[in-house]
Order: sequence, then structure tokens, then C-alpha cells
Amino acid sequence: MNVDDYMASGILEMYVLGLCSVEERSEVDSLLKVHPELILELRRIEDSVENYALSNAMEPSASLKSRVMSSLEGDKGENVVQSSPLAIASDNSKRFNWSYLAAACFVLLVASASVNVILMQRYNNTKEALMAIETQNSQLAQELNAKQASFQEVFSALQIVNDTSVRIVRMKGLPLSPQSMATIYWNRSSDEVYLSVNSLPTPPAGKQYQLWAIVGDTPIDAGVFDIQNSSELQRMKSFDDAAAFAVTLEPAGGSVSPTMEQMIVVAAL
Amino acid sequence: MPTSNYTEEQFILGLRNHDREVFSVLYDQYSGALYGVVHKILNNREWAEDIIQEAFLRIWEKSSTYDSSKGRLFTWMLNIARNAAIDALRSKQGKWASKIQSDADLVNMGQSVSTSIDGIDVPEIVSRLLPEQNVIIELMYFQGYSQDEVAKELGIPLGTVKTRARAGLMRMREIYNTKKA
Repeated sequence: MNVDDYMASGILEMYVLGLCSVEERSEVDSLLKVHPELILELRRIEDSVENYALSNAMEPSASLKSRVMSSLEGDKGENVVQSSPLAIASDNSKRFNWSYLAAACFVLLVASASVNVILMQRYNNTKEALMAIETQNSQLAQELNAKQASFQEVFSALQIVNDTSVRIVRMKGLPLSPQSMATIYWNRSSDEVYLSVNSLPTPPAGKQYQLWAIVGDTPIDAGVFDIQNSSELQRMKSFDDAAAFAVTLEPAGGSVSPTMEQMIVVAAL
Repeated sequence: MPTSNYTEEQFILGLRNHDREVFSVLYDQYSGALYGVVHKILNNREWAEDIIQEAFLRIWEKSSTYDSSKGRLFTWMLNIARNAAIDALRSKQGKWASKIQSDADLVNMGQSVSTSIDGIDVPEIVSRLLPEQNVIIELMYFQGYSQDEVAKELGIPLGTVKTRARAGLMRMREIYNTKKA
């Protein structure tokens, strides 16, 4: 094995950081025994890791040290020192020592106050997190409702269109507006008439589109409609029979008889 | 950072003898360095302090297991602290949660690295490390992913993970060696 190549492979760095797999670790362990120059290299890597950690050091809070130091108690006879004040107190138990009680009360008060502060902080954190989640939750609920409504809409449109007794009539654009198109879904068993706007120009202010059914030779009003919600199927008036359908542009609210010059789309059956 | 006149040997000896005075100096000298790493892993001061306490307790209790032939005292301490932090991260959040977190972190890795490491020279380091090496070191060292898990997570071959991780570490080392010199 070429020691230089091995050092250049970066595996010793992984070893120092504890990132090696078990196999890699034991490989390094055994190579370290045979190649002393690897140990020197290892020491240099450890130096730079220490350097890294020291340059990115952060100060923990000052109270942590006493927490750490007191958590060590219980080792190596520290118990004796700790328990001695109590022993002394019981020896002098003839006279009740108020200052011990006061000190104890004070310690309890401070302890309870700091526990309160910590609990309050935790409570606030939890409350904030909960509020954030609640907000998110209600947003999601709103989105879901909106999605459900639009799904319902599309689903019922699909049911209308898919009905076996439906007759589909495409009304095509006249020279006035050749690109226009609208579709009638005419259910022959229920006589329900639905209109879907494929493409119609936005009507000028004060005007509205009106659908006509031509029964015999007479145009019969089938209702006015808007084109804002063009994906929706609009229910129009019903007929027993019709020879043709047409849409004209009329003054808002509709006319009694169609303005023939303003006929936009038409279909004969 | 406070410095002391203790040598590494004196620290080792003091630890073995459970000498509280030596331990107190050891704490002063290294708690900041360990805390920096643990805080970067857990990203929460209070939690990181609990883990530092746990780590120092372990250092105290396990001092007899330290083997100076295998590496420096600081390396040993750092690995204890890091392992404690990674264990805490994985058990407390559950692995899935940290995975989600790391996915989110991956998305804006460029920013998160430069803002979450405290220290003056960090932007320089980030700019000098290649991003894909950076992501791998982040996942492995600060999130506790194994090489296999990194490969799965990033959808790249295990060999590539090894190469990039090692290259990234070599690069980092160059930077810190230069600094020291």
C-alpha cells in the first residue's frame, strides 16, 4: 500500500470525525499499527479539527457550568461534604435555627421562580407552534373546500354531458365572429337544456348574450347568459322540440325577438 | 476562549483521577468548542445545553475508557458530544422528521450553511468549499447520516459519496491549517 496515496484519500479525516463505516474504521485501526507515519498525519488532522471547533465555538450560558459540575456529584465521596450541613443541623437541634428555614424558603422560592420562567417559555413556544399549525390547518381546510366545490362543479357538468339521452349541438360562429363557438347539451328525456360557452367575445357594456330556440319558424327566448364563468354549464329554458339554436347579442336583460344582425353563433338540427 | 497552562497529559491524568479542579478547567477550555458543534446539530440553545451537560457527564464517567493511543483527548470528547447530539436529534425528532428537515435544508443549503455556523471566517469557507461536498459533510457530520444513507438521500452512488466527502474534508482541513499557520 502506498502510504501517501492513503493519506491523500481523505479516509483519515473521516476517521477522526467518526464518519467511517465499521469496516473502514477497523481498516484504519490496523493500518495505524503498521505505519507510524499515519499516526503523525492523524495528529495533524486532529489539530485542524480542534482548530475548526475552536474557531466556531459558541458560549453556552454561564449557568451551564454549575449544572455540569453539580451533576458530577455523587462520585468520589462528594456525598460526605454535601450531607455535612444536615448532620451539623441535627446535632444542634435543641435550638431551632430560623436562618436555615429562611435560606431553605429562599432557595425554594428562587427554584420555583426559575421553573416558572422555564415553563412559561416552553408554554409560549408551544403556543406559538400550535397557533402556526392552526393557521396552516385552516388554510388547508379552506383550500380543500374550494377544491371540493370546483370538483363538485366539474363532476356534475360531467354527469350532464355524459348522460346517454343527451344530444350535443355545436353552434358555430357566423361571419360576424367566425372563431366563436358555444355548445348545447340537450337532454331529450328530461328536456333540460344546458349551455357551455366554448369561445365568445366579451360583450360590450350594456349588452348580454341571449339563446334562442327556433321552434317551427319562430325564435323562442331560451334565456340570457353571461360568459364570466365559461367552464360552467348554464341551465337554460326547456323545449319539447327545436329545429335550430342561435345566440344573439341583445341589450342587457334580453329582447322579445332576436336582433338578426347581431347573431353570433347558430346550429341547425 | 480562556486558555490554561494544563497540558493534554495533565488533563488526561486529572480526568482519570476524577479531579474536579482539572475538570473545571477542561470545561472552561473546551465547552465553547463542543457547544458550537452541538448547537449546530440541534439548532436550539436550551436543548444543546442539555446535551453538553450530558456529554460532560459522560466524559467524566467514561474517562477510564479513553485510549490516548487512538487519538487526542479533544477528538474523543468531540466525538462523545457529537454522538450525544446526533442520538438526541434522531430519537427526539424521530428519523422521519429530521429527514424532512434535511430535505428542506438541502433546498436552501447555500444560505443555511453560511448563516447557521457562527464564526467570522465562515462565508469564506463556504465560498471555498464546493456545494455538493458541503451538502454531504452537512448531512454526515451535522445530521448523522451514514454514507449509505447519504447515497440514498441524494440518489448518487456510494463511491461518489465517499469521494466527495473526503474531498470536502481535505479542503476544509487545508483552510483550517492555513488559518493556524
